[in-house]
Amino acid sequence: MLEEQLQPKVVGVVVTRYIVILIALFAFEYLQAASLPEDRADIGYHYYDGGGVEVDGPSVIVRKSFANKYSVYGQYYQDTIVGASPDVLAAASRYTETRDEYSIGANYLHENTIMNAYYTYSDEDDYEGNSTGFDISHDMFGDLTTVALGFSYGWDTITRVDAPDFEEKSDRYQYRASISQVVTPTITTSFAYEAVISQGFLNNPYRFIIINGVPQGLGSEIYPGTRTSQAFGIRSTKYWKFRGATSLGYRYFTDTWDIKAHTIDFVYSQYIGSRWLTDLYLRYYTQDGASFYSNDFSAPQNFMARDKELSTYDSYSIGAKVSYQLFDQFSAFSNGTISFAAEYIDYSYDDYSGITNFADINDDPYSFDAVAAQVFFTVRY
Amino acid sequence: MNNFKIFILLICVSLTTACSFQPLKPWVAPYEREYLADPIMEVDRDPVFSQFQQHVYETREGARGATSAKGSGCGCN
Repeated sequence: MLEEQLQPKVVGVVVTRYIVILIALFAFEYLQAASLPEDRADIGYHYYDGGGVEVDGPSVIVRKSFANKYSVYGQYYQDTIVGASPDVLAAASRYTETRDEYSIGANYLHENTIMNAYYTYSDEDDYEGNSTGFDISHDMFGDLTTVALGFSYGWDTITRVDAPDFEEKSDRYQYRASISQVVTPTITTSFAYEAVISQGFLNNPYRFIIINGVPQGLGSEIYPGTRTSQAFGIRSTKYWKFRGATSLGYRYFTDTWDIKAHTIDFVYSQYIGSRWLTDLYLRYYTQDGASFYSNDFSAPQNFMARDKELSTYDSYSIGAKVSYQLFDQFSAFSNGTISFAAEYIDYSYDDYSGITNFADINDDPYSFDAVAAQVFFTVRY
Repeated sequence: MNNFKIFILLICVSLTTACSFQPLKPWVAPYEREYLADPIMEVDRDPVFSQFQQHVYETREGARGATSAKGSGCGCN
């Protein structure tokens, strides 16, 4: 009797060890070194204009490796925001604020495994964000497969510029996993999964709701205290022998607020001559709104939101990026490129009237166009 | 003979016959990875650009996460 109870456990242990040993053998059979990210520095300027908001600012990333095992990087990113979206503008005035973001991180390479740890700090007048995370990726099966796992934790403090006593907190836990697979000598495919758990104060303190055409006060939105989301992504990239590449991606998103979203994007990249590299981007995004979203509530309910990002809408965008190689070898730099990117984005809402006069609550649904552009200079060393 | 004995027997048979595990051979050999190694195959070729692009999307959309896989998986090095 006792023997029969123990036997399955013993066999289970043996089989498990066998599988672990096999995996280990495969992993080391074709052991080849993975590689650290390339040493490079990027300095750029970005600009966004759309929906009554203008954003611009510089960005800098510098990365350097040493001892063939370590790579460290630092990043600075700034947004200067002028204006306000219609829902904020309906109850408040245009504003100007600056957001500064600082990141540091390090990679460690051990045989065919790369580990990455980072910390990011973001600061603006009424929002302070912190995030730290760790990722590990491992090349296996003759370097045809890369498996990656990651975790991040974020903690934010939300305040209001017009209410010094207002202070709320929110936390964020992100778990991600991905597999990248070489399929043929010209095709790679990757699968990605990410779960995000947010808790705390998740609304925007400046937004408000409307009940039967009557606007409620600033900060009248009521959101659940938690939100759990899951996203699944797949992407396939193919090299074409006319010195081009195409990449097709799809992402499905769902969360506990009943938002469901689909994203499809396509990128076509092409070398032109020896110095030009061009990319064409197409993207379509559509989402079903949160269960507690309404443009105009008929009666108060437990949770209420009028943030257009939680409504039902779709968006498409088309963009291009052009990079030009300035030099092949110059002093300490192995090469340098200058790049310019521009994108046109259209947003069309099903159930959101972007009004500032509340008598027009039943106006046609809101839509707007936006332009996002960036120019950046890159040196490799 | 219970199921566990049959399972063990199958493993032994597979290890001692032509069905035994051979080391997995990559079906794309290192010398066939020239195209995969080309920078044009990198989805996140310019981090400074992709971060700005993702930031523009995420601040105006309800969805978040799973935007890219870590690692190229191309076995180029």
